Amino acid sequence: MEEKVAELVEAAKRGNDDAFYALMQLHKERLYRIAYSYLKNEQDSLEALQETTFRAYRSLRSLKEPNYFSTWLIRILLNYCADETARRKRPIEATVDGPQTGIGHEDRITLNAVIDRLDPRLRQVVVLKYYEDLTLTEVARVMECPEGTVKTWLHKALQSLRSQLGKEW
Amino acid sequence: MDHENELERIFEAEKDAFKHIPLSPHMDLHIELGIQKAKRLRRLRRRKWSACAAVAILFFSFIFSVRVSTSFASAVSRIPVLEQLVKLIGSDPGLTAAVENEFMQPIGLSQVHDGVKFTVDGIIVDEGRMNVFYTVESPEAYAKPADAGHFHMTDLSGRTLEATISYGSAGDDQEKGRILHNRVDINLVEGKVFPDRVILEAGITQSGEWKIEFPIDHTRFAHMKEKREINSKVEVAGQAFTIVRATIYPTRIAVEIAIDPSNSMQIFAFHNLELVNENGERLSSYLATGSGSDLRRTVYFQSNYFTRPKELYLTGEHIMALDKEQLELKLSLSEQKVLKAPTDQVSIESVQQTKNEWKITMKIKGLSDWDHHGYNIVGQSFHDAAGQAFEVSSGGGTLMEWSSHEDEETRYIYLPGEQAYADPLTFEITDYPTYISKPFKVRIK
Repeated sequence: MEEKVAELVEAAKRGNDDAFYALMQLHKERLYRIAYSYLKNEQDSLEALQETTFRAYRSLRSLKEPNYFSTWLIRILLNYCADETARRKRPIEATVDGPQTGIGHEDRITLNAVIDRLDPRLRQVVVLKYYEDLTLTEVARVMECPEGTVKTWLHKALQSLRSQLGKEW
Repeated sequence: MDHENELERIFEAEKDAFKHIPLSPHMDLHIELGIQKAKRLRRLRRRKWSACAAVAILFFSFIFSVRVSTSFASAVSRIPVLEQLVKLIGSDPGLTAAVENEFMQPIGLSQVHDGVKFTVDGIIVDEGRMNVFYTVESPEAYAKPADAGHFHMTDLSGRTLEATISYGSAGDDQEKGRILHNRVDINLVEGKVFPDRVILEAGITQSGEWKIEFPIDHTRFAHMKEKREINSKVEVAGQAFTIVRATIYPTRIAVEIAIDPSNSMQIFAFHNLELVNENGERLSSYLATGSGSDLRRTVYFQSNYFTRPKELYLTGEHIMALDKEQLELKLSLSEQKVLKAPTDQVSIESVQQTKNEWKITMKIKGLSDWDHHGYNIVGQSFHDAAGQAFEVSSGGGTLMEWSSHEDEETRYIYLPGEQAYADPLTFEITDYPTYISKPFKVRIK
């Protein structure tokens, strides 16, 4: 997939709109899910997808390394989501629609609520590493910081989660 | 058990729920809308701004192709902080002239939260329009400078001012540094006046909502407003409207138009209004309020207050209008076609039924190369053959496509899916690509 992405990026940079559209098609599900995990509803997540598309299209030429397109795109989305969540005065209702998993629904809500309260950067690390299965190198690229910093943040995030969830964790 | 591993196990379970977040059927539309928005902005850099929006928040990208005159440059250099803001004024000759005439009010008030510094550098303000120039400084640790957005303005009691607020993201060339300069353009509803002190609210990247209070020196623009009662009736193809008055402010000119209620046609919009002085210099409109069946419209233009034109004319050519007896569009879901419409420019491309809704894809064709209106064609409510009233579901939108041969637009309409509808459905037309094209000219001054 990476090779294909790089090829499409080159074409899109030359002004090929179909290539850009194809790139967005490849990434839309991932972007939407990440947006949803922050914004918790369809309308706002669609708005995030639209705004990310807009920003990516507009600044594609500034992307130097085509292979980094995926992480670059996620970074744009996360910046948007961080702004949106910071802007909101009302806390967001923390639920994830989905089938029941190993842990009870109640626990999931708690964990979600706690993740939502994390410092934005720590939260990003958690979402990317655990939900999106990005490698530490990729997370570092999204967040534009050294891998060592990502490790530190991840550690801090887990510590913070554990302390907030209580002793039983 | 190791706590961290335990947490990781929980995350595994959590991830499963994450993977099952239901996807929206509208993702593709919103990708297309995002691309469209980017392309539209790119076009705007070349085209004149011909905004035609109701009171709403507009986004725009500042245009950096500014011609800096020597007097302008010297005026700006006297206010060092504002020197870098020259670019932000863009192609608005009224704002440029305002700076040249030392009309800017320096403010220089800052707030710092979490290492981010937000400064209101200065304002260009008159009774009805304010441009706020601001700077956001981010700490070293930020990969990208923070920017402000989601602006609101209130008086000291917290009451939101009735205004249209426009702002854009800073230019791409600014994304590298830690300091970002930008402006926000606040247009009060015609006739309203700014209070002596205001509170600007801004959402700033990664640091939430900020509020900054600053004074407005009203003496700087007292008695500068010039109201000209015009009351000139214009008749084009049997349709009448009156240019009621023009109010000339230092930074904007508001032209109020009254539509004759006895017209046989509904006037949806005036397409390309301009103000022209005795030397043929043109000012474009940047905002318009009122549409559809509203009988009062206000169109806002850039200003030439400081250049004191001897004569000023309002000119226009294309009026979007439709016979009042044709304001109905009927379509059949089962036959997937338009049964009744004023012209054959609108057609149904497809009707798809998904679990939750009906998706109608409508094509709008035969558009002139100057016509990038973004047609809605129909409004929110409709009724079916049994006379029952319904509302469309949210998530619709219009996609504008430009190509070298023919311009067309695609409109998506979503109807709630749980309903059974009796064909055909009847919608009221809210805008339509039919124009009365005939030049007209009215003297304003």
